[in-house]
Amino acid sequence: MGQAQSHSHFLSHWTSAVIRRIEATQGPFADAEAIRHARTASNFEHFVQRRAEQLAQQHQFDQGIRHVTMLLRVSYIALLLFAGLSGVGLAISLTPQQAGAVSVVEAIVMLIVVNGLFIVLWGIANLVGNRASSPLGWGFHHLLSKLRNPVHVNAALGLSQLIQQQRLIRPGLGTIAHSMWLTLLSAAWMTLFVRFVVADYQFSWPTTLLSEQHIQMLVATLHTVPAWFGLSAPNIEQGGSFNPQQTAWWLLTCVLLYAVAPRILCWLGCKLWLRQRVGTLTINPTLPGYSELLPAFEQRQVRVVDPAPAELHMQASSQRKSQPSTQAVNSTVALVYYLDWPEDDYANFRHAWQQQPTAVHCELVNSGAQRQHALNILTQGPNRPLLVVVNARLSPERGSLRFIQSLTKQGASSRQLHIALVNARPETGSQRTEMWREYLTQHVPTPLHIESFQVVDNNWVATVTELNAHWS
Amino acid sequence: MDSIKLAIVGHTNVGKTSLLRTLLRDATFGQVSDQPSTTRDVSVARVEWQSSVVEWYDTPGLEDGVGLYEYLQHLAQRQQLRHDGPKLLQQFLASPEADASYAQEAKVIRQLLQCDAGLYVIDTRDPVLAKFQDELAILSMAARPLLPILNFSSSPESQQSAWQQALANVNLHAWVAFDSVTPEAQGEALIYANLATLLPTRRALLSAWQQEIQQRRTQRQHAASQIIAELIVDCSALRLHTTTQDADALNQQVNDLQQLVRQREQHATNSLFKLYGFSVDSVDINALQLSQGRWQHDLFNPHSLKSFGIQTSKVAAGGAAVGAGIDVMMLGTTLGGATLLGATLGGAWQSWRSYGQRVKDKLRGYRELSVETSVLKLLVARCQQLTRHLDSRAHANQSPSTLTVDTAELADFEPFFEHARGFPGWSSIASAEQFQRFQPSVATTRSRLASRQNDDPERQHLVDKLAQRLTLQRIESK
Repeated sequence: MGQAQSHSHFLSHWTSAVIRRIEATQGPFADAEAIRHARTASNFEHFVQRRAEQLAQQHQFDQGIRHVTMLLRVSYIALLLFAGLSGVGLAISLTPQQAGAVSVVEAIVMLIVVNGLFIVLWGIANLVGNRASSPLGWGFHHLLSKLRNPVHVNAALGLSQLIQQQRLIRPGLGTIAHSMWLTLLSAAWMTLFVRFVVADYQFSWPTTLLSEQHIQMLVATLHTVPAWFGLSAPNIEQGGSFNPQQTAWWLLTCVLLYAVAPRILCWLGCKLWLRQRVGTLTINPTLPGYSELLPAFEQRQVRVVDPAPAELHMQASSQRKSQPSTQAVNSTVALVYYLDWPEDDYANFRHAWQQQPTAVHCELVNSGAQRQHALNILTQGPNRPLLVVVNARLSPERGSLRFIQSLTKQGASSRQLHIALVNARPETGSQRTEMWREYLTQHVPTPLHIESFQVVDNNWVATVTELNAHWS
Repeated sequence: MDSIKLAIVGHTNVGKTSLLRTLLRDATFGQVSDQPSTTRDVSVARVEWQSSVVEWYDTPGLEDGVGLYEYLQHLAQRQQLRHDGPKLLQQFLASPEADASYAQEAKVIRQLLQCDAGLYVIDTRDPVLAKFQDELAILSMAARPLLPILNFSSSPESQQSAWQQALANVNLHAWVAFDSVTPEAQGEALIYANLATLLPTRRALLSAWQQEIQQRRTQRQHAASQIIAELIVDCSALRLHTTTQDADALNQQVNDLQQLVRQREQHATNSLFKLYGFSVDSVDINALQLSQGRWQHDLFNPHSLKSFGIQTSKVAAGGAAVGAGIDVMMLGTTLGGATLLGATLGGAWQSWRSYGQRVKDKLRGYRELSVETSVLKLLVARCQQLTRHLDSRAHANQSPSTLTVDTAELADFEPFFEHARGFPGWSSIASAEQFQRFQPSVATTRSRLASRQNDDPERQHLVDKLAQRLTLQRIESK
């Protein structure tokens, strides 16, 4: 799994975790549209993820996730900078400003022994400890607690829950910790190298407590690996003449081999561990928030694969009356949806369409079931023109607008979506037609073809003829 | 403190805020417009009297009943709360959608759950559609008494019977047809009577509130009559003296007099608007030619008199404009008739003292400018109509309305005009400065006299009697 693919895989799970956590604690989202989008998913995991992505988009949680990602990245970069500066500081503290003697033992302890101890402690903690409780983990939770925007908080809590449930904490925090140490040690090594290049340093070996034998033993032990590379060990005997250049190279090689190299290995190990974990992330269908989606996933597989070939002109829809039917719709004829019309007016329209040369499929869209049915029809068959006849006598409102937006999301924009604002009682309420036009223009991002019509003197045929002429 | 909380709920743009404005008699409450989603917050109007409180909550409109009803069904299935409406609504309020897709609907439901009852406002001009039925189904889950208000019931497009049937289908058999724009006299009482039936524990409170409303209305009517009576007495008693013989100068003085009267009328009009809770600048009454709180037809324009069916009594002397009488005759009809009638109706001593002063002025060659009876009648007619209109007019009304004018009874007020004419000092219109322009020598005296005579018990008696007559006339004309 490539880096980008792995990242997108992780993001999908993160989004699903955010939505699941909210649904499990606060209740479900209105997901009819999201489920419609998720219908094409081949398995439950993809179904959950697609649904979650739709809902996240709808409720701006995707922005929350992006925000938290950015926040974590900035924090990580700040940590690396801090580590780099610490490394530089450490190296400077080991090398006196005025040309003097560098304590080799101090350098070995500070750069190799301390680092080695922390690696060992980390290894023990991973092998023995039940929970990963580190300053980094604490810092992560502290950072999340500072978030105030509910969308960001939900995104952060979703991440927290995901990494706990999928056991990503250890590889994740391990990667961060090792990269910090690696930065620190690399910065220290680079600083030592530069200072050794530009200044003339002497090296001293004695310490207050350690005897010469102890130091010789330490050097002999450390020299095991550098010896493989043909490096000669420094002479530390009293009065022995030793070359500072040779000692400097020996010290730099030891730091590289005993501090930097193990950290690189640990970092790479954690990175691979993390990638492996991310690669095997799964949706647990038994978790609350996911388990409730199983029925919806099973239902989505029921669909018409072979539409009835019957003529789906007016007669077909007139038999259906206003109730949505489960039968499939001819996928070639144009669609005309009547939004929020009384049944009598709808019957007049249907009758008027029968007298038109164009064959269309009419649907009355008033109730929730009718809306659902109308959206389902759009998923069947290839692109074809769609005309939505809005009852412009009524006040524009969010519910109707949402339905029109759903049509555009369902791909109706490519179906040449036309909106006809029809006022069947032009003597009053003409200003509402203009309201509708403004409302649609403002709230539907897709450019729409909007036309206004009036039913004058109850002449429905004339209106439909005019409507058909404009539409054609 | 005994209290009742009532929520006004309904679809968007059906006139919820308008209904509340009308019930509260406050044209400034909330925002009213033809645009949908005008009200987006829940606002409360708190009315306190004695030890009781009525709290009205104006809520935003329900805009996606279809979507919310589907979501609630989904929620009921997930949470297994099919038969516990209030709990289901509480679950909805705790759900993420209550802060997202249905945030506006959540405000309405949250408020309804906190109230004793809800008034579900229906625009009966709209057909009965599934989305409205879904709204009713949602609101009925709150387990609060719901009183449907059939708004715009007097519109020719009203589909009231279809709505009644739809309401009956969901067991809402109690409803009130109440047009918030042109409300019927008993409509408001019916609302409270029905609420009392739906809320038996609040019956006493609602009954007391109804009495309080009636009492406040009566008080407002009396106060309106007092405002008009003060205006009429001020204008009737107004007499400005002049010695000028120049026609142009005389015309200018007549114009000044007219301006004083116009200002006084506008002052009274504004007081009436204020009394009835209307914002002065926002009142437009086409039938009365009143736009932005100002009369469009000038008081002294012959057309104004004609439009109210009032005949001008005479053409003013010296080419003066209509409505301003210039008494040039010694003991002429204006003076003589007024004085005699005034003496008859009011205190004889004061009348004759005033008469003596005016006779003295006449002898000294002064001419008097006064307001004609026809104009005084017009003032009464306009103010009476305005009061009637304000009393019955819905505070939500933003469209013109038509009123009929009955001018026959205006003659009843003539004795009051004549009485007041006998006492120029009773008029508070002309200030000392204005007198100075006409009559420098007597300005200070007149001003003092005016201020003293405005507290005159005789004047107050006349104002009270006139106010009673005005109230009576309004009641009789109903």
